[in-house]
Amino acid sequence: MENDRFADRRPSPPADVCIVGAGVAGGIVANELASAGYSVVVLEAGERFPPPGDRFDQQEIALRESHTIEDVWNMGGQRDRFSSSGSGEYPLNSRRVKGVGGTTLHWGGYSPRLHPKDFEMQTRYGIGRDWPFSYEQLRPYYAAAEQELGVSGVDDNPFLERQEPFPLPAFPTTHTDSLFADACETLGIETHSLPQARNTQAYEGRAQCVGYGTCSPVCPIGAKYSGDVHIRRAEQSSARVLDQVPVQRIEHDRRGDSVEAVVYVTPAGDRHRQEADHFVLACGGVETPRLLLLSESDRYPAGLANSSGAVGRYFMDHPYITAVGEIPASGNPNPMGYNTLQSQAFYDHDSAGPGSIMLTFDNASPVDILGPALRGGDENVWGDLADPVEGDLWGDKLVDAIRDSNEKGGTTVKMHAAVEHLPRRESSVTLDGAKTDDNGNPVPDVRWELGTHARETHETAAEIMRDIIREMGGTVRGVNLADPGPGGHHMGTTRMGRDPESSVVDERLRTHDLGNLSIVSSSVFPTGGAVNPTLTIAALALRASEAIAADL
Amino acid sequence: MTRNRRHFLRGIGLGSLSGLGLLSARSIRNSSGSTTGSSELDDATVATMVALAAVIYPRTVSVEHSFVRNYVTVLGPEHRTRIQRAARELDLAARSMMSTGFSSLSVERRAAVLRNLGASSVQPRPTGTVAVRVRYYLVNGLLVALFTSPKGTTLFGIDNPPGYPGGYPGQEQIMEDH
Repeated sequence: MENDRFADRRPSPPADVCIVGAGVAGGIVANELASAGYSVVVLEAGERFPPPGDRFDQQEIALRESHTIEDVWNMGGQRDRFSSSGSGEYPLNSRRVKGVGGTTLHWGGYSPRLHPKDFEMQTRYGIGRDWPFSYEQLRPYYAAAEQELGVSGVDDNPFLERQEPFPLPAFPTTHTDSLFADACETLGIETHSLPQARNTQAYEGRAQCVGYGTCSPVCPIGAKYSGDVHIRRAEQSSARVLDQVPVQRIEHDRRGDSVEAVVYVTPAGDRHRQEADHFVLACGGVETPRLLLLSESDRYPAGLANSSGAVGRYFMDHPYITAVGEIPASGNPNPMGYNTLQSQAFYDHDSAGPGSIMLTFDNASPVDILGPALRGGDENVWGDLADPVEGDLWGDKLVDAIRDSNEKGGTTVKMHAAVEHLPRRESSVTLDGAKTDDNGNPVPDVRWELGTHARETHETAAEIMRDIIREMGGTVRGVNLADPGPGGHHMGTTRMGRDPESSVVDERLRTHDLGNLSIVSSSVFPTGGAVNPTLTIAALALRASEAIAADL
Repeated sequence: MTRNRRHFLRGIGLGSLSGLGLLSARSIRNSSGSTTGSSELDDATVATMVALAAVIYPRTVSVEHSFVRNYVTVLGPEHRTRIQRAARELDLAARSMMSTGFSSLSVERRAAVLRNLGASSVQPRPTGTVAVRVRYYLVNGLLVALFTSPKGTTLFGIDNPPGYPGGYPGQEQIMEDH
């Protein structure tokens, strides 16, 4: 069954629901509807990977630094070609995964909620856009999503009130956390635990974390949630899931009011049509708008469901900056694979700027052993280039070299700040007609444009982080303000709204243009706050499933 | 303590989890303690790798055959096949240079074979020349085995490295409290 090129990929009879994309969004919708008795077909472009417990090959690749994160889940190649024509290069294939489980195969697992203000940016501050419903309306779905993913946490966040208990106890905070927390307390900055979809205990038949520490990009035993959990559950309720069948195009009826079928291609090159009563696009914030744009027709010359012109526009991704410091104290004795402490003290704000900041404190590894070992003792790639002359080191000399490469005055500490990225039309996912994928389709062109609001918020965040490091008695080695990295949170490109002229889907996540086409993805977020989007995606998936079932 | 990935698979309790379909057939077979069959390396490969470990591991670290076998237990069949191929080629290189199989040579001569092959000055790659593949599958494979285990990392004060299921900090307390 795994990665079987010869499995039967012919279409099912017309189904109640056809879902494009087998990530967390598609998985949850598939499970909700299949377990309610509807016939569900899920079409996934990527492959089906080995099940949890059997992902040590992926871990092996992740451990070896001669590989990149893209190699772990087979990203890249003709299938995943893209352009990035904006003011900065966007590293798309290291920020997404195609396959059963989707990008949650490699995610870090962090599962915070948005704040009420994130839903009311226009009303409160006159910037950004309002969601067509409030945090309070999404709250019960947040609680249900935490149960579905298995979020470990404790109610210690003074900046976001909650009513519901977490399904799993929080990971204990660490020694390094206590160093940060003490300094923050002196500065009047409250810190609190970091909710994450990682099993402190065995949960719903899934393994407890045993400290492998390779969480992102892979937990070999599935103690970190990934979307294939819900795909497997959906299959137990008779959902049919096909892998390696990238959908090429969505076809609508003559009037253009309703979708009739989607066209997909099999590994053997056969094209098939899958019909259904209702269709759900759940292929993430890049491939979802891309598929709509590729499905243009005479009735929809700007792309299917794109009467508003908003498909692909308002692309948001949280820009992260990292502060690195040296402190005169020892940190955690062992490496870990995840973080356990955050501060949302700077999340809510009274004026429009600076915007929301989510601070996370890194459980940085005290020492890197495997890296220099695999490089033959070289501290970095520059040492590698000298190898043909100098040669690499092994044996006792290697031990000395590893010790030397970790030699430093004190302990390195790191903090990260995610800030909100306001929606702007120029930040977008469009089609690059000059480049095609392995099926001849124009590739996505990702333009990630930050704007001044995000950059100003970064300046504020950098000052805060420098203050914390200094309060720890440390020296600041640097903050990468010139070069923020995207979180891989693809939002905004088929946004929600009440007005069909400026939004793609309504509050049920139904496209304004076609009555039987829904979109479940972070692509529907009108704003993104400063939190990892997955829990919100899961909450929206649960809510949308109710709306879809009501129409079937 | 010889905890490793295989130990983990036994330790998590096959009876409770396998019924939920969590473990693949491969993992279950590996955990049953079987030492023969397609999940293992052939003896010649193990001998070559043990001999290679004597060159690249620090002298304070001793290598048993079981350590090498355990490392490959959780790897896929394609990876194991490529390890075996690289080991055969290393052995052939030794015979070509020194007229004797790799594991029969002295440690110094084994090191010379590696150097002459170029394995010490190339980038590790899963495909390509003998040198890059010996570096990737054998040399770096053995280093991954060593440094994802306290066996190697306690040399640097680390007893729970990435890749090792040594538990998470505070785990006992969580289990007690709940």
